Amino acid sequence: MHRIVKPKNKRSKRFLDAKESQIIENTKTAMFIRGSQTSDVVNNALKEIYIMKKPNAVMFTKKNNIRPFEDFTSLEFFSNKNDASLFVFGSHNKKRPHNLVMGHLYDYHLLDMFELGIESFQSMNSFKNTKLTVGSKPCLVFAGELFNSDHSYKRLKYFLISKFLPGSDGAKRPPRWARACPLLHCCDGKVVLKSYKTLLKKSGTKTPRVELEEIGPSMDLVMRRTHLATTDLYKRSLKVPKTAKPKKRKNISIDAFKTTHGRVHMEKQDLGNLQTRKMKALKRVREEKKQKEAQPRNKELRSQCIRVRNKILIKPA
Amino acid sequence: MAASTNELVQDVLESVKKQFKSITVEKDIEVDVDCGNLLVCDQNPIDIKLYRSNKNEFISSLARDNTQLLFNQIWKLPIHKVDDVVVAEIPDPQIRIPREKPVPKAKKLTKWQEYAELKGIQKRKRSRLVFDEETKEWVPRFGYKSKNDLKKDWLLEVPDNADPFEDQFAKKKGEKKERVAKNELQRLRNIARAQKSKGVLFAISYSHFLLKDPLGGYFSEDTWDHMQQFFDGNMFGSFMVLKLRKIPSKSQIQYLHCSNSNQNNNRSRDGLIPKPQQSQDEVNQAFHLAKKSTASIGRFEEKLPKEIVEKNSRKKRKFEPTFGQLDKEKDREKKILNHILLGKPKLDIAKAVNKEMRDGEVVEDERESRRRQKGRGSKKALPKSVRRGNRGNKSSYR
Repeated sequence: MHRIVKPKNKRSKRFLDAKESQIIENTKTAMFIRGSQTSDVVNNALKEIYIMKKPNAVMFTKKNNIRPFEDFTSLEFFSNKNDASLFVFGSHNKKRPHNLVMGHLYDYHLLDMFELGIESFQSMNSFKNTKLTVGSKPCLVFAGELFNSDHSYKRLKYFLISKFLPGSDGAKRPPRWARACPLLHCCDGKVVLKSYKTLLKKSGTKTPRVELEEIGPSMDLVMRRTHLATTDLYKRSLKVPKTAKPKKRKNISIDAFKTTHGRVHMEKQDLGNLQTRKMKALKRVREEKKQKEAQPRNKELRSQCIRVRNKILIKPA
Repeated sequence: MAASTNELVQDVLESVKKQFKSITVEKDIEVDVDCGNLLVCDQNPIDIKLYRSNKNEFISSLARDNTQLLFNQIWKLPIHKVDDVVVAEIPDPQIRIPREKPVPKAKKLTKWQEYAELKGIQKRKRSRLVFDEETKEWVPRFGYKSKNDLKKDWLLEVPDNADPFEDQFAKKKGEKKERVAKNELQRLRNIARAQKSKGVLFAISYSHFLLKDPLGGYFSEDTWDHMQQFFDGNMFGSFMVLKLRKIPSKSQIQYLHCSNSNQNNNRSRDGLIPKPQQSQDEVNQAFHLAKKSTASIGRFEEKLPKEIVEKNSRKKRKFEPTFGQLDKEKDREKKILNHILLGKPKLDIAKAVNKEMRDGEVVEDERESRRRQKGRGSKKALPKSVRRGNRGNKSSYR
């Protein structure tokens, strides 16, 4: 995109550059917004999901009188302001008690939005185990048929993946990283969200035995209203840029000493015309030349001669 | 002896094995493990009886089994050390997640860049500092304290032919300003060039426009492709932000609708529902409606080239204030009275002049045509060789 108004200084230029769409994207940031009325449960849930998402999250301190399912323009505005594409909105009222509205945006426009009611909630503090460290990478487990069969639950699954997705800090991660493991499990039409810490135990083999320790938060969620993007828009949001995939390097390898080796394929060399070392002794004398001229002009004979010469040239080794 | 050692080894191994719990997990349906996303999707049906009998234990054991499966896969990946940290090389994720922003488009080259590419001019790095021969110092190439800094000049030479009273300082400053302005203009021109193909921007609620699909907002790939002939833009939720390139013609619109399989013949007040036979008027109406569907009732929408004027546009009637502006009312009444009292037809000068000119042209044309008929006839009627011969006088002398 062309900027018509030029940024006044380097800092603002850097900010705008970072905000522009990139081929390989950064980790999505999430906004945590409280509605005009919230319950204690909702507040705690917001806070704890915020902690789970922390380096890439913004917690709004003021209340916002928004009704996402009636008008989501202010969410889009917030998304643009904060350069964040995920949001969690908490509210509480008589009709929909302990309400969480989660969603993601594409290009600052709403993609999917799910309204989830909190049925039961257990805070992190109620578990006496050690807490997870900030920025630990979560692995996700989805269990239950509904996540694969139902359209809206499927979308919810993809949304939750994009929400808790570990940051894309290259393709390499140490295997001893994963501390948290939010489990999303669907049963009785409820989505059960739990989080555990992984403990790696000896198993007698190279691969460790995994044990889990619950650290919270844990909640039972019920799907209420949904707003799903059209399939077409959703499809476009999934587009992978061509340049994001690295080009295959052919015939180039790097060995243990980090020297690059290349393999070159060549045409078959014509050894008949190989230039050997030039020496006076090997030069043709006048007589020889004369002889050559005297040779029969018959093409067949000449070609035979050449063939014989080639053989000699190849042989000496 | 050898047999006994073997037994001993096996005993030890088994006793070790008994110490540890196993890492194998069995499932009826194989679990999808996506190492790239660190994700496990377990499709096995949940045993509801077990789940209800002991909820927490059931869930934690389910989670453990699935994470074990994930970790088994991860430990199979190639591992190497980076700065004394064991690192696994994790493959690309299998499940695709929606992007945050659309894929960046290639920027259109500026005019200079285009030229440079054509000529093969390479961009080269210029040093920030340059050596000033006069002061024997390194100074910035441009800007504050640079060699050409305008503030540096305390004395300027008046050129021979210049007006001695002209302020040379102001002149230099003005020239500089002009150069800056020219550069800015060129920058804007480059932006305009890049934007040119994009047309006028419309925000169209697609429940309002002809693009509504009776299935409830699901477009087939095909339809979208056809639509892209006319629009640049994206669909967001219930809104389509479109940049209309040109107004589609009747047949093209028909084509668009035909490519949508399910048709609905109901005509709603708030737009156009696709059907095989769509009149131009209907499309126009929908178009104008869409144009008005902005926050500012379409007041700031730009006009398209060859836009058709809206039929039966309900213009808002404006009334004069009921009191306070007597002068205006008096003037208006006076004008009418004058017009009646004069009893002459009103003379529109512009119209009259135009008419006069047109009449003159007609007369001229008539004369011309008459002259042609009388004359030798048009040159084109003659064969080529004759025409050539007549052109040059010399040849006719020969």
